[in-house]
Amino acid sequence: MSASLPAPGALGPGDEVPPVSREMGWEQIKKYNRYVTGGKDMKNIHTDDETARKAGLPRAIATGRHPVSFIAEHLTDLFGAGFAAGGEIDVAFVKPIFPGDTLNVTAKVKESLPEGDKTRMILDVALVNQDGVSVTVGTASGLIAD
Amino acid sequence: MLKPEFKWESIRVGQVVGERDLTVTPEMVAAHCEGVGTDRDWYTGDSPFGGPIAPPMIFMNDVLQIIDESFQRFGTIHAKSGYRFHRPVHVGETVHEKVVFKDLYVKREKGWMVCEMEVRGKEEGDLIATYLHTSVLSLTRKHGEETK
Repeated sequence: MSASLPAPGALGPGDEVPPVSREMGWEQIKKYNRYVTGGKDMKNIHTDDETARKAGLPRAIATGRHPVSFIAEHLTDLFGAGFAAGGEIDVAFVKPIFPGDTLNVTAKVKESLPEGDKTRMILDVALVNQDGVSVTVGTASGLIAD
Repeated sequence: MLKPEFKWESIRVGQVVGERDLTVTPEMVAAHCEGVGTDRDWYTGDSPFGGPIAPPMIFMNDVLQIIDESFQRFGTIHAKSGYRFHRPVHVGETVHEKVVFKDLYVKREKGWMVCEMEVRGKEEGDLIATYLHTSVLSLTRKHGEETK
């Protein structure tokens, strides 16, 4: 668990989790694409501007799924085992993410509800680009041992 | 045999898209970690669950891979995603993945498709994770209308 994050039990409704910043550079996108394709370098709308333009896009865009991992990792930092076993994420991809974007992973406590012998903390989460635009928004939650 | 195109005429709610067994290897975990830029110790060494576990999002691309095994997919607009992580998967563990079309609906004159992938332990059959994937498809027929 990250030493820079508070214990989730110390957070209440309206509290913001300190954000983390992640670079969505070309190299990161291509590494992710290699993972998806089993190690191959392929030209597609996510890795090549020309291919993207032929598909009607202004330029290459990142996949939506890729940076959801940034949310998952941030919440694993926050909840620890309570995210790996019990975590949930629901997000909508509302704006494109372009190579070179910087994404801030934000999370704000919405509410906490009892769940068995634990507490489920629900947060509003978002990926916010360098222009302050929320590109991915939704909710996520993790379990806190009482 | 030619695979059908991935469009409204080709899919039905409740249809099993595909299923497969998959063993989570250290190489798979390493490639995922490099792709998403994480180096958490749990993924290569000890974890609170006893030994290395895979990142929770390790299966995130498998929905589309399984769809692509059955259909010719020419690109879809991924609109929403949902994930439920019931327990972590250990590195070296074999899981069973099953993808089912859960919903088809029309919104803003576009056809929307929701599919769900359940990931279960191969040995115990217990639920490890659920991935929900919502995409916009080109609307070639109205929902409920039979193809002529």
